[in-house]
Amino acid sequence: MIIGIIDYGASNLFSLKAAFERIGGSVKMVESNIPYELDLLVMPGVGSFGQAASSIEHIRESVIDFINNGGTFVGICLGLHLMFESSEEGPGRGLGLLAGQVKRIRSGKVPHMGWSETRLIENSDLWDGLKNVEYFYYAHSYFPEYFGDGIKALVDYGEKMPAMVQKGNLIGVQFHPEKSGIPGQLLLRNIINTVKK
Amino acid sequence: MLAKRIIPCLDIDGGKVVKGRMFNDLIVAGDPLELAMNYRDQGADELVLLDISATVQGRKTMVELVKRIAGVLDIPFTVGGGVRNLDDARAVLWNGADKVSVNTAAVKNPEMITSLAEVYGAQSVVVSIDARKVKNENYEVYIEGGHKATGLDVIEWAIRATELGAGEILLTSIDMDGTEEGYDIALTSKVSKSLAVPVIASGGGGSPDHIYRVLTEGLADAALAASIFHFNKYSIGKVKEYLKERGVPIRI
Repeated sequence: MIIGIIDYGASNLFSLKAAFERIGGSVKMVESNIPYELDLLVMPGVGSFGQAASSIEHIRESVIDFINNGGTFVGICLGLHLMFESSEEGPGRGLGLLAGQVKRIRSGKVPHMGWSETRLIENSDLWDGLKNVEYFYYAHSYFPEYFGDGIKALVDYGEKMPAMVQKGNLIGVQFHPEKSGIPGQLLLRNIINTVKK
Repeated sequence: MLAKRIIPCLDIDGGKVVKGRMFNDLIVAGDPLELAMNYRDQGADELVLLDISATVQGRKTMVELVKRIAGVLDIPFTVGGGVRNLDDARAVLWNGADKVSVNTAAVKNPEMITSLAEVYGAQSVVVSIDARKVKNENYEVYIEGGHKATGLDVIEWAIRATELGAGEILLTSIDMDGTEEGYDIALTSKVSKSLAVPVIASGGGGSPDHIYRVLTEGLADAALAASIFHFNKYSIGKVKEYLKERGVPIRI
């Protein structure tokens, strides 16, 4: 299993790389070209929307080609936000893979930081071995206001926000599986398994 | 439902975990990597590593240590102490920390908070505030390991820090630090009520009940503790059970 992690220069890809390696993945950092042998492409979740959007502009087309050719794409936290068109957090355009606006969290303390109960609302192979309600780790101030197809799990933080989206070969999670202990590891393993199928 | 976090803290001097009392009198409490793995397995919600070493040599070992610990953690990891500038912050964030905590440097150069938040996002920026009680129920900000008074009011500084981009405040009571007599509840609730970002309470945690009180009356979003975990007085699991039985939202 070869996993590409898009490196847009905003630190801490270390944890994500370590998490995939712990479950037997071989990780390649993707800066400019997307290697053809990739099984899975991951957009990690650190930094701010504006900065990340401008840093990925040069590989935007190749990412979209990868997806159009059937490659599995995973967006984590900010990586999920980048799957949408735009964000209140900053200028620039996302990948536009999903239709919707990324908005600032309107309730509770912001950032939404810590372990929140995450509820499965529609069956998914990515949730195999997990309980219907699991704690995952979140650290974000914005969320996609998305009510379209593929919402598999929700998190309630004063209002309900999408926690996991799975639509065809697109996967997006608002939480950080690489920071979510054993359930997180299970979810990453399930992601790898769906690619193998 | 968002759970309240229990956060063990490792104070590091020259590569070893140490623990002081009221910011002085250090005693050695063990090997950082071993303790980190132990706390991870006990169900810690996050780990904080603070470099309190005074020497240049000590600081160099720190980055190596961050990397080693990050390699074994699958929970969030915050690193602080001696982060003087953007390069120091970058060094810890690029070696596996999820959040960087700034204290003295943020007071001396508040724009640093904004620069960090712009690059790494507010969720990666923790401003650590060491508070000492002064007259009329007010608290003053101290820097340089609690040794230097700044004349700044804790509430005012905390609000300013969040306006500048801090995503979280790590609030330590110097008066209670290491006493194991309980957190400063009045301080913590006052700060928490004034802010729109999460507050981690620190200083004085000596029993599950202290942690219970600071998470409820004290309105803290997370409780940080060191001595009670290092010396195996209580396991993290025991503390979490205690809290859960009393209705605190806790991840077990």
